[in-house]
Amino acid sequence: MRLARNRRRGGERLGMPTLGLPVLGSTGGSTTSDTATIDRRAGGRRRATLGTGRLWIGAIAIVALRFVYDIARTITDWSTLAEPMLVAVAWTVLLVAAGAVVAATRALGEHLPGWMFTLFAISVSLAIVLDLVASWGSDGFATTLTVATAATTSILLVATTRATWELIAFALVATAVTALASRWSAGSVVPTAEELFVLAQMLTPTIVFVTLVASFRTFVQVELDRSLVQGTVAAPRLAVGMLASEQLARLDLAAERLLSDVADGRIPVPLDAEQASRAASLATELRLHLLEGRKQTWLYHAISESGRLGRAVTVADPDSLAGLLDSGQRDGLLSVLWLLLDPRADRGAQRSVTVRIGPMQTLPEVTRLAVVPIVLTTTGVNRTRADPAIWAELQRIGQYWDSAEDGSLRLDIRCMTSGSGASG
Amino acid sequence: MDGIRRERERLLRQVARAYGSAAVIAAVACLSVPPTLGTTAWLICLPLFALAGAAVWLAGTPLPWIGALGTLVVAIAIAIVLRLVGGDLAPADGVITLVSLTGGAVPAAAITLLSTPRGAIGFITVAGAATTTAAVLLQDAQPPLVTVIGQLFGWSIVATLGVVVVAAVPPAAEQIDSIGRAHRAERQASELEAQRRQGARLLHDTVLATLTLLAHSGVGVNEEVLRTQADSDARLLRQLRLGETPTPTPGTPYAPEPAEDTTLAETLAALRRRFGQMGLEVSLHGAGRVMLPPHVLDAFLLAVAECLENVRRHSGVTVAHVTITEDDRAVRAMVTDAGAGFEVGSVDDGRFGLKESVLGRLASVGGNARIFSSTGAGTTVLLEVPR
Repeated sequence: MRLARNRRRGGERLGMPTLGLPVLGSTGGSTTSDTATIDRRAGGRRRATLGTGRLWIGAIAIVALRFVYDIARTITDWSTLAEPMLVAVAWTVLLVAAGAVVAATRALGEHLPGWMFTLFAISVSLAIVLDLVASWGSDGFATTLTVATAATTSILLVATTRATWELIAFALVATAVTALASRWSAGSVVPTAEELFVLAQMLTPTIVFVTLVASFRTFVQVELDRSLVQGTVAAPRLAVGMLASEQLARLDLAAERLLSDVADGRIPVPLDAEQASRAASLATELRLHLLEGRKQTWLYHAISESGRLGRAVTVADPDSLAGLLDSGQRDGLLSVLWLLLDPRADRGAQRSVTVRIGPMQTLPEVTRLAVVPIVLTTTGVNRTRADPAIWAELQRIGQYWDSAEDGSLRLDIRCMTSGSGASG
Repeated sequence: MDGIRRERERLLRQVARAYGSAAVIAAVACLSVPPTLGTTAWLICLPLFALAGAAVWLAGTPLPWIGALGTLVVAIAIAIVLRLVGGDLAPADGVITLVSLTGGAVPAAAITLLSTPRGAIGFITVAGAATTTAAVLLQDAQPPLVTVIGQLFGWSIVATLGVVVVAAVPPAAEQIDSIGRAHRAERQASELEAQRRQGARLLHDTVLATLTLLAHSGVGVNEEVLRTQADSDARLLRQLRLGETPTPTPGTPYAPEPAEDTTLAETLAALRRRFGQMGLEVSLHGAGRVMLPPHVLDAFLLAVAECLENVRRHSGVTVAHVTITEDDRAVRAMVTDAGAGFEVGSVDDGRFGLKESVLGRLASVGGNARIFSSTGAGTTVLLEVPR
């Protein structure tokens, strides 16, 4: 089946004459949704997402533990330090930087501008370098390091406010520099066990925590996106959707302004050509928006409003049969789509799903029931690696058969409907 | 709530596996650099490290206890091998290997226990056991106090990681849920709003009529009357915007005498521009001065647009003709193309694309549509609405 595409976004702006009609019926009628911007509204440069506040407190706790441990080591080893003054300066720099970054993050509401991060990274690097210099040439170089370990861990203080790669890069560079300095100082290539242990301590908690924050952000994004479109399962069989209704309101407002300008004489009568053509396109737009044909099924709205589904799902539902599914079946179908496309399931794999609905088959002997066949074809979804929760969700939609097509999962679902949809 | 639990366990599992395997790798590395404890001890330890790795991986399954205790047992086994075969634990690499296991791998394997209060008690118990074990095994190598402090430090780091996950997921999930609820309410409100605005047909009919007059620069209408009408329309739209449902006073005749109502020609020209942008050239014939009531006009235009969309998508040609004719009873549009065509009998009306809403709407204003086509001979659709 050839899938036609219908790009709508550009045409619906005011001032461009358009019929903006949805693709209606016809063989291969389908809609490829544009992704709406809901999930990006809160975007911008801010890194903190909802719920990262507690992660940040956790980061502070880990850094504090590391500080206490390493300060205790410094105090116990004080008498044996070659350059105690350098170490003291390093600690001062580190403590001031850490305190400042915590205060700034708090004051700015879980946000840290780029220049502050740079300043923090430079201060921490300075502390590390001072510690390396202080330990230079000493026997068991790595074991005498105290500030460097604490400093590398202290990067976690910005784990929730900066990008993952910045932190990982910092931790890797700091660890690599320490390793090189240690080898250079000792004058041999083979590292000692103590040294490896110190390096592991510098790297492991930092990397683990930073990747935890990244996973947490993914979780929040996926769930938020999912939660936002979940409301469509209770939508009527056909609805105008949130975007279209905003547009109608905007057109009404534009018409109101034009008319009141004419009424007040701000626009002279007769109108000049530009104003006249504005009135003409407004009339056309408004007329077309008031037509019934603009309505779409819940599935179309769910997919076009979701940033994630919009990118990966294609729907071919020429007869708008998705509207016939009851809310349980809709929830099931939406869940299956989410599970098939969950970014957490299989990193790196490019997955996509095509949903084909119809044609409807009526059951001659049973009154008022109809069968709506749904076919889900996928790319990049391995049957054995699919989330097991999919099978339970599929059962909520109807009887199903799974098979493989071009090495990817294919699902044929026989969905029984009453023919009236979720709410008429 | 099931989702929250799943997510929490997924994140805990991720931390357990990342931290645990890092600790095991560090332990192997520490044992592999000189001075070694001897090749024999090293070779015997290798499979044990593999076991430790497997036990850490088990922590992610529904059997966290097996993972945690398994890792501890493997650590003890390694210590015994090092003492028996290597002869002594005292060289630093043996000590560090063991510390890395009991203070890194074992707590990582136990971290999934933290998701329940009972499990948290288990976590503390395992921590105590691991610390004691390490202190006993390493008593010849370093003072027990040093071992205990090091162990407690390692366990505290991992415990903090675990507590962070356990504490952060539920509030985030709740917040997401409440955002979702707010959004659902917004969706309903917006649906209602769209319905309300679409329901205000009568109002929009007069607004559209006035806009149409303005589109002709207001030529041919008394200026004062036009201003008054514009003012009243703007006020009605304002009321609609503010949430009321205004209706123009019924019975009041529409004030400005409609000029020659060429709305059809105007909108058809817009249609032509739109399809022109999409690559279909539409030539209009005879779209003269046709007057139609607004609801008839809407249905008529929708049907014409529909036909053109079909030409664009299926005919394979880039030119379509729209001919408007009228007589006393009806206005007709003939949409013609010289494209691929199709067998009318083989495709039912619904599939052709005149969806029921369009056909139904055409029918609701008393109109109808007829399709003439055969393969290779182009398609003609005749649309008709009464005046």
